Amino acid sequence: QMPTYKLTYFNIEGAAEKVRLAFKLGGIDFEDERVDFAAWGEMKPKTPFGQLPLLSIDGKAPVAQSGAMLRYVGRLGGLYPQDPEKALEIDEVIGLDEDFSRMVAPSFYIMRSPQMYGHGDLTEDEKKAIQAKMRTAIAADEIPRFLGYFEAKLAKSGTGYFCGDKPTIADCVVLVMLRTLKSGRLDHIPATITDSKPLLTAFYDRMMGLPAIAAHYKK
Amino acid sequence: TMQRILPKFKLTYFNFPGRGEKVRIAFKMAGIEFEDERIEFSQWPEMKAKSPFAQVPLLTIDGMPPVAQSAAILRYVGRLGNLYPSDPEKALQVDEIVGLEEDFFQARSLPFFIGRNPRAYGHPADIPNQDIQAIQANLRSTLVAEDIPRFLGYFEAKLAQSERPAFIVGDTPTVADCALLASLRAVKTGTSPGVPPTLVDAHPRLAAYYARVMELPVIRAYYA
Repeated sequence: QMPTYKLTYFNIEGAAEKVRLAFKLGGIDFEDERVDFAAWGEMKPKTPFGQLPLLSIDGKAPVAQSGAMLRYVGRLGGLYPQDPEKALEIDEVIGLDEDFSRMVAPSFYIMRSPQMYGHGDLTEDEKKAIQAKMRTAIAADEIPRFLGYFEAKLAKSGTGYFCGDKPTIADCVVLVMLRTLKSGRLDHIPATITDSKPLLTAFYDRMMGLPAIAAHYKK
Repeated sequence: TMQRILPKFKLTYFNFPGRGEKVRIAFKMAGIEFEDERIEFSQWPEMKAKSPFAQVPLLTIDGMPPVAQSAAILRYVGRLGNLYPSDPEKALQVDEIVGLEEDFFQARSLPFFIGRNPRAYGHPADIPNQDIQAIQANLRSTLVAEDIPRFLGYFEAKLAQSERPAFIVGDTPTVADCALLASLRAVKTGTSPGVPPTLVDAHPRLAAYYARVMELPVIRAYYA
């Protein structure tokens, strides 16, 4: 008897998307619960750590931390091998993606709560000017640096996937990163920024063409 | 249990706890020998240029090209050393704590990161040092008043889920304990700048847990 799974997150890709992809690639049914931002204020204090996403297994007390969920679903769906050396390779890629997200994050949060980085009260225009500067800088140096790492990883693997010859949770994670960059929704980051990387471009097309993933994005 | 003939391991990191400490603790808890290579900041620029992703820690296995990412290395050592359950639901609990500790590390390290690279946080590249220090002091007082107690409360609540908690998840040590111990130690020993060591004591189960884990023979020996 298969357990039931419910994944709760906002109606955006964000931190949950890699977990959704792992469920889909692993062929595991789950309830993809999406919460309105408006509902979050009331919901937040009722969550274990004041964060989403949450994963509930068989209606039990929910678990937090998207990286934990990703590995759990990966184990169930054959996307996260037990072999220590193979898992190490996968975890290294996942960690690099987390570093990438943390590098981009300040230029996102500067608009919502600049005081968290020690800025005073800023007007909307002041915030936008700072964000533009931050984004232009990372588009020139940090983003290409990280893209280079992922490109090199694909070159080293030689299979078209990051680790081994079939998709793993590492591929789920990098696909979400590429989708974010290609969406153009990061102001001042050109949607074409990944186009100069041939292996990442081929990887993106390959992953988006996998039946489970194509179906997920069709709706 | 599967017995493996283990390769030679070298862990390279700076000579302070930081992100490397949870891995050092894991090697010790697992009883796995490793070379604990500690580099000075003066050595870093040359090494950085030669490292795969311009970061440490790095794990070198039998002299092969090194692997990066502290959490990846932590899990690897955990798998070799029986500190990381293979049962998916047990591992999920462990991974939740490992992830939470990473969030805790990020939160309490933010003032340091801003000081190290103000431009990355939207400040002018030439911001005066005293302005940075004022920002850091301000942020640290918020950390001490709000964020750090909040995170400690989460770990306290986790321990409260069991009547007599042995370790943070389950009855045997896991990589979650390695990560948590590193963080608690950073607060307790004052290596987290501006953070009073007494913050842990406000959480009785956590304070008792810390004392218990520090008394484990391998841990006591390591920190002697």
